[in-house]
Amino acid sequence: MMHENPQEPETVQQPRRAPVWGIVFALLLLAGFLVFIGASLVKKSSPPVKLGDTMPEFALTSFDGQSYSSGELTGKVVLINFWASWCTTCADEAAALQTAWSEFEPGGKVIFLGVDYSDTEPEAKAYIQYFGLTYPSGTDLGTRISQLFRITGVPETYIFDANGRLVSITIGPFKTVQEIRSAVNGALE
Amino acid sequence: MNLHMASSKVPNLRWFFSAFVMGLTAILVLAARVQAQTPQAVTDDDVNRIASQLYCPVCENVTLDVCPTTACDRWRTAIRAKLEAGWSDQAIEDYFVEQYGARVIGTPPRIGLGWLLYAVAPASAIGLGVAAYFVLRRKPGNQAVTRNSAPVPTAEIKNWREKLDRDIHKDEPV
Repeated sequence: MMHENPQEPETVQQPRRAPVWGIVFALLLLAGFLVFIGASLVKKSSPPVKLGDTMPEFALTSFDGQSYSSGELTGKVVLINFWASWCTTCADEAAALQTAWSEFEPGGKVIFLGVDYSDTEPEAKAYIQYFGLTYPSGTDLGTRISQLFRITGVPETYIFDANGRLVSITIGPFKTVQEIRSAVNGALE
Repeated sequence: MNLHMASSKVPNLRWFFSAFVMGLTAILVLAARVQAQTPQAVTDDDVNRIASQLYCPVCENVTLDVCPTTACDRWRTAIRAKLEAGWSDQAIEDYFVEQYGARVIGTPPRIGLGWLLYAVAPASAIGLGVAAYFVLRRKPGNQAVTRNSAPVPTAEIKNWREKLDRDIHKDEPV
């Protein structure tokens, strides 16, 4: 007479499962990461501003401490010029911009804004002084404004009409004062 | 007499030793103050140590220390000026990020959601470790470990062995 196997187990423990909080945490982490990556991709893939677009919202503090924000500029034609003191082609158009500004400033319908891109402040101020620029210019802190416009280099100039619509884009320097006059007058019409 | 002379010399030596120690201390303190007030000479290596961590605003993937553009040259000058003013490496890097944006550093800044990028890798490693632990515990080969076997009485094992021996040897020729 054979015995039954004496080592037959009586009970078997159920294998442990991953805790619910661990799964939830992992999923939340993954979701957060995906959202972050997605937001970064959307931000990077946003197209550059194009003709007809409204003025991006930005704020600029000029070297003399005045603050300018896009919201306060509506109702005027706005010329935004991206420049840097290390940029040789910017120097080519600086005098022309100043001449044009001195013509349009008295009318009060136009404002020029210089956005100093990736520059050092002492050299930027020396540049302004050298060319006698009297229109407001300020540092593009954190390159936020140039990222909004998605500029490809300096100099670049954007002109918005009084309704805040982009009516002119100039990549590279203006060759003559007449070019600036034409662009601004076009925005004033 | 000799004893008297010896005892009279001891205070003089003590006074001399005390004056020497105090003078030396004063010199060391003065030297330290002068050293602290003198601006530290900043070498090109110091500048390049930081410049190599920052990227040119104009060129693609070129660090400041090797970039020949005027913009980089001015940024290196700015780094030197800040080092001479006693700024730390981290303070200078933070200044550049604030002034020129996160793209000047080669890695995403550890601020806001940027932390997520740094947290995901270690968190994933930990998560994978935990997951591996649970998966391995579920493997069939390991389930036996978790079985709650009843202890087999020693006497019963003995009986089994004797029976087994008998069964093996019963057919053997004598």
